[in-house]
Amino acid sequence: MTDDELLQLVVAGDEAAFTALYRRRQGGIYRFALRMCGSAAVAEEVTQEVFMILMKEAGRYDRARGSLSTYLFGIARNQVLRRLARESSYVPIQDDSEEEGTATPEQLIADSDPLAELTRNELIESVRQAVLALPAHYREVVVLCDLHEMGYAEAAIVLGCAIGTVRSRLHRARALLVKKLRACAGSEPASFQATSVRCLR
Amino acid sequence: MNCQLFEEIITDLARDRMMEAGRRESGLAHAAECARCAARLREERSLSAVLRALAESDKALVAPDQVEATLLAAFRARAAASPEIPAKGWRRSRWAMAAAAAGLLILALTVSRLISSSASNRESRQNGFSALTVSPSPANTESPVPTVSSSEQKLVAARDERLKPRLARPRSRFNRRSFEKAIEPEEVLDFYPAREIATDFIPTVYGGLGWPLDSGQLLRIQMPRSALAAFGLPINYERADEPIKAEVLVGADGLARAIRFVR
Repeated sequence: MTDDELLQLVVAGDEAAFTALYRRRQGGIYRFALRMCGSAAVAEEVTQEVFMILMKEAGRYDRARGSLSTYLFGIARNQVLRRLARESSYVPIQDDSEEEGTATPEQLIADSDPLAELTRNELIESVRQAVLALPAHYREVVVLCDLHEMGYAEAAIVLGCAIGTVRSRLHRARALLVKKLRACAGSEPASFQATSVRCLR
Repeated sequence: MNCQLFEEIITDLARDRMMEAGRRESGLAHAAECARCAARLREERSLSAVLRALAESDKALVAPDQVEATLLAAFRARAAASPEIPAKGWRRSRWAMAAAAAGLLILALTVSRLISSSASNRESRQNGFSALTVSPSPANTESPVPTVSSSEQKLVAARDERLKPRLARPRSRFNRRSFEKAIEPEEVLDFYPAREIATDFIPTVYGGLGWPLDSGQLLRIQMPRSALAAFGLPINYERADEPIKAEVLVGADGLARAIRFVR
């Protein structure tokens, strides 16, 4: 059964359909909120709020404007941004300037591949923290396009911007990530593990 | 391809996204020749790989069960609050119907009061003006109001025809107090401004404009602006208490058939 069919049943008061829809979509919404906020508690709140809104305002979903999935991600994004603005203490966002995002290729080149120098787990944790340290407008494109493997067009619907904007933001966000990871990999090996999180912020 | 163009496609190359085969080939060919771009591509691919690993490690992450329990409790509470959860869009129409019903009730009360007031005034004044009364019966043929056929348009046209000479009269006879109090037709006619804008007639009963109308009255009334909402018209809530003018088409049976708003 498709999302739209389930939603119709939800509107008609079918609890089983609501449960099925929730179980199908909650993981993605939860992970999106978690990667955007860095807080499991906030991610829970956002997930709950998204489906609460769906329950109350299901009639506002317009299939012509995108899939139900993008609609839910759009709600989640709004909820996340609202919380980030209100409770900035959850994520120590580094305000990287646009100049940092537009680093020249020369600035991005290292003598060796620094990422290869980190172990897999360290890498994953480092990237997780690096993503969290990105400015919100860069972070959301990385989370949607790279972590959720969403297409540019879908991401553009969720973010309410042009596809070209998604592409350019993703390019800059990835350049920032490479820069941050290289900075960490460039630390002294003995102290890197202990300071990896801090150095990304 | 040069380094600048390569930089434009490097994200798609590193992420293995769909792209033009020609661009992809020329990009890879450039990376094979340019050590700097090759290093950039290697780095971007490493980033893609580690992001995929992060996504993979996150796959098991889901919202705690308590979130689902809370949502289901809320869902049941909503269902209990409204046993028949309305279908899409029905809820809105239910409110609209309730508002329309309230509006019609107000309208019916106003019109009935007007009719009784108008009748008593006619009786009390021998040469009183039977404003806008139209009837095909022979008894009324001497009336200054022309007899009209069964269409509302003709009725309205007749009203307008009668209105013309009166509009030329000075407005000194207009008495706002009595207008607001009882909406006396003669005084209402004096109140008509030379140029008015009116909406189309909106039926007040099902098929209101479709019913045959052999005789009837067109009454001008005053009602609160908030009544516009009952007819699906936009209102300014800050001015909801202000009065607005309207014309009600009332059949000989006393039933209000349609209404239009006048400015």
